[in-house]
Amino acid sequence: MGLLGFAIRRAIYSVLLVIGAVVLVFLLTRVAAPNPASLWAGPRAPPSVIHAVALEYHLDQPLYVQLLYYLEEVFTFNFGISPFFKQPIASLVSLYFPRTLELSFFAMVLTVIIGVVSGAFGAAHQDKKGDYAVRGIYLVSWSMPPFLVALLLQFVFAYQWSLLPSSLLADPTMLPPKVVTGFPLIDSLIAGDFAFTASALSHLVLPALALALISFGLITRITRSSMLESLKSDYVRTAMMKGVGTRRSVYVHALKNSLLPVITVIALTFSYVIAGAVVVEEIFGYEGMGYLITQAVYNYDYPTLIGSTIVIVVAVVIINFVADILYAVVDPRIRLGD
Amino acid sequence: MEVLRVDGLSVDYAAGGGMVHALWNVSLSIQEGEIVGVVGESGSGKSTLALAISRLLRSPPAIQRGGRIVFRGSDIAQLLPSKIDFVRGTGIFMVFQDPFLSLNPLMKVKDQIVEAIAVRLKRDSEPFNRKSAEGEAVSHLKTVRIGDAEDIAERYPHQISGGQIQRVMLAMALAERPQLLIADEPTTALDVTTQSQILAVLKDIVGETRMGVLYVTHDLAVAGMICDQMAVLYGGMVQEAGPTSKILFEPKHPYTVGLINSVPSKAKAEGPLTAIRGSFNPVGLEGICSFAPRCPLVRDECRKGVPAQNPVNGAVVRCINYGENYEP
Amino acid sequence: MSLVGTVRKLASRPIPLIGLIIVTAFYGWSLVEGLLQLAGNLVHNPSLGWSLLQSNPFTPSTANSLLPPSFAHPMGTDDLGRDIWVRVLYAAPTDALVSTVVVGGGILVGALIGIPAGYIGGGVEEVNMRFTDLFLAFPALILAVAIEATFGRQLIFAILALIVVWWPSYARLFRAEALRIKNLRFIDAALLSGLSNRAIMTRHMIPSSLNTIVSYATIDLGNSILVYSILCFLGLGIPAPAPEWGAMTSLGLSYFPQWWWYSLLPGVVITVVVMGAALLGDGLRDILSGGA
Repeated sequence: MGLLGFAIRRAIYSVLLVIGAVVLVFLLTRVAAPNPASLWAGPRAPPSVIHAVALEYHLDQPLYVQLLYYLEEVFTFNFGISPFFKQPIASLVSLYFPRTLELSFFAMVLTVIIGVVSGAFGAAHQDKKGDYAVRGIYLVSWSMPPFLVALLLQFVFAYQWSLLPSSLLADPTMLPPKVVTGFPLIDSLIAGDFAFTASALSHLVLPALALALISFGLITRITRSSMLESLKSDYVRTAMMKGVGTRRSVYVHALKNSLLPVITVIALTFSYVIAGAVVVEEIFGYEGMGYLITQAVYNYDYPTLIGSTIVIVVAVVIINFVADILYAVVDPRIRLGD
Repeated sequence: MEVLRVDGLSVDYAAGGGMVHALWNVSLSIQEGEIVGVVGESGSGKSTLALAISRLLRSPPAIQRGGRIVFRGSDIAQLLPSKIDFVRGTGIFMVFQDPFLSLNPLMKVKDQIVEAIAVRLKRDSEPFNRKSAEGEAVSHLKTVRIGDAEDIAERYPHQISGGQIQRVMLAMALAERPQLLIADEPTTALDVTTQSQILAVLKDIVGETRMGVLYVTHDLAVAGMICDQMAVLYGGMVQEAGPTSKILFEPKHPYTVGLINSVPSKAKAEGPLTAIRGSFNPVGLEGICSFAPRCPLVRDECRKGVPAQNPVNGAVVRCINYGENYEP
Repeated sequence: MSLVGTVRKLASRPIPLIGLIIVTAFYGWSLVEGLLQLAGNLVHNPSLGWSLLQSNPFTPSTANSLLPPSFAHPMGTDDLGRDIWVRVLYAAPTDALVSTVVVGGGILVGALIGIPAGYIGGGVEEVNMRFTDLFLAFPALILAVAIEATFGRQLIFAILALIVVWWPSYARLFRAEALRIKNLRFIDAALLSGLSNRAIMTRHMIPSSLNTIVSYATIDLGNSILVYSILCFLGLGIPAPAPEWGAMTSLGLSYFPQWWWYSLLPGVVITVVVMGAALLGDGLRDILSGGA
């Protein structure tokens, strides 16, 4: 059966999960108000517009027919028109989501590095000062609301010390690169506009750091407890007995095995990071998905909010799928079946 | 040539607010090509002895109180952990009791044997060549009579059986050519057939490499099958020691006698099984013979002090019934 | 494990003790203040709500606008001259209410779904757990925002939205506990004595899971305050002029960084409360899992 069979099963499950989530969102949108059309038409819409919207969203049809239309639209990437932005929601998402993905990617890299290093450090200094320091730090940072972390970072690094820019995607005086993939960093690299790449990177630092600081705690905990387990395990003892040496026993044998649980947690952490991005993007003026969502909320733009929700759920399910595959690749017990 | 001499080794464990004497004044000696067995029940201290000699005891909670562990002429008992490395693997190699967790689940079998080969090559200051190391790994697997050696080499630990894992461990031992092999109940977790196969392989290896073996077990019969010398451990002390034939056929210590009598014979109807009454309880054994509470031949003198070892007819026996001598 | 015994054990260790003090102070104050506010509303005398506070949290005072922290105003004043510390205190009962109802609701629904899944197993387990997975595919905040935007921006819907987001983790927890307890001997004894499945689930499964659930729930009290504060930050809590920790941060953004206390300090209060809950929860877990 092997890896391919496992991947296919996981993929089918993921697709079913997405369908289920879309159905759930669908039910949500139809179940709340007696007249959902007014939700979809936006605030202060005149009755004629509401009526038009009701027809467009097939609200006169029986529920299951509506569901079929809905599923069809979602899978053809058609989320309707935003009453506030007055543009197709799909194009809004294609503009803003890649930026959030870029930010989340960097945030995840930082999160994993900070988490694994601090967790291994804590395990190596178990119950001594270093361990307590690590636990103290992640306790505090985990307890801080994302807006506080973002504000503090902004305050210290952008305002007090003027080290890094306080907001936006990149230097506003620079022209953005031609859109190829939608990812600003990649597009600027393709266009050879390295000045823009540098600027965009420098603008990513603080928001990514803010997201990493609120999310790394979970990875630290898992790495630490996992390392403590591994260090006590029989195979580490065998390695030591063979004369392999402490360094190799810890960093090759123990650490490799300790990273397995971290992979399972990465998908969950990504969920936190996306949620945190909503707040962090607002504070740093970083125009990504978080910006889209907050604008949709402030302006009662219901269709955009729903469309964004679905897109985010799909992203989370995909990340979960990738993490499962990664885990199977790394752990031969799963990959080869037992 | 003497490979190992243990002299008066004592180890305590800090446990639950007090000290447990896991080993007390244990001495033994292993020659080149000799298999010495240490037989004891749960709590006798036999695993502690194995781990102490290989310097793998976790300390704390274990504390060595005294004695020497002389490996090839040098006392390794007092060496700091950082200085011990040179002995590990190529000097003293250990096979553990539970095979299933002994190997790293994320590494292929051959890579783990190659790792052992790399250790040996490094110590001998010889260059490491991956291809020839892998070839050597497979040949060791063949020596330990593992079926389909090339195939097994490519597998992961969870894909092979317990018996095969123990053979892999022995293959690793071959790779490192240690002078001393310590086997801590290597076949306890395996079925009887596999057990005898492993024992056969072990005897072959010893015959070929002339390494000394310390074989720790609770099973007197198994020890009887391969050991040249035996020591019977009870309550952390060597109660009787000597050549295997003497221990099995002329047992002297009441505990040894009890052990031998409790092995069911082949006869069908021999009546109720004899067992040694009671069970081991470490409490209240300070300053007396540790077997006194369960001994059928116990006398008042048994509680006057800890009996010293008496030489009797080629063996040593720690029992008042063979001489009223006490430890100071 | 008796309540008094647990509290005593908690108090004997410094770190959980700090958590206990913070949590008790927070909920104690919220209870008193909340009752006063409730009474004030019932008798149409809202000033009862700030009788214990040094000033009226609603009265603007342009003369005092945007003052930095001082003895008179420990957290400074906002753009309308209102004392921020007073508003923080006034807003506390809302968070206390939200956290208890959300976690309580999450436990209730989670138990209803998770215990049968673990105990009965089979088809029930499959259905329940796939259903749970569905909800877990949504990042908590995103789902809560979507629900509240749909139903209306009122406190009651914020609480319901959070309960919907919260119950899946408890469902998983209860299922794991039910699986563990199912295999304990006394369940066999209960079955043999003729106890029905439902009775076993209510009388045995629930009490035996309590230890694990309690420590997790305590930490969760803090987590729910965190998520709720983000909802308020986005404008989805009680509308102005009622003070709310997350909302105050949002209002203060336009005055950042020069009048930094407006945005920063309410966030610090949230951090302290959440940390208190986490310390207490950790301490409870250590104690209840059999370490003394």
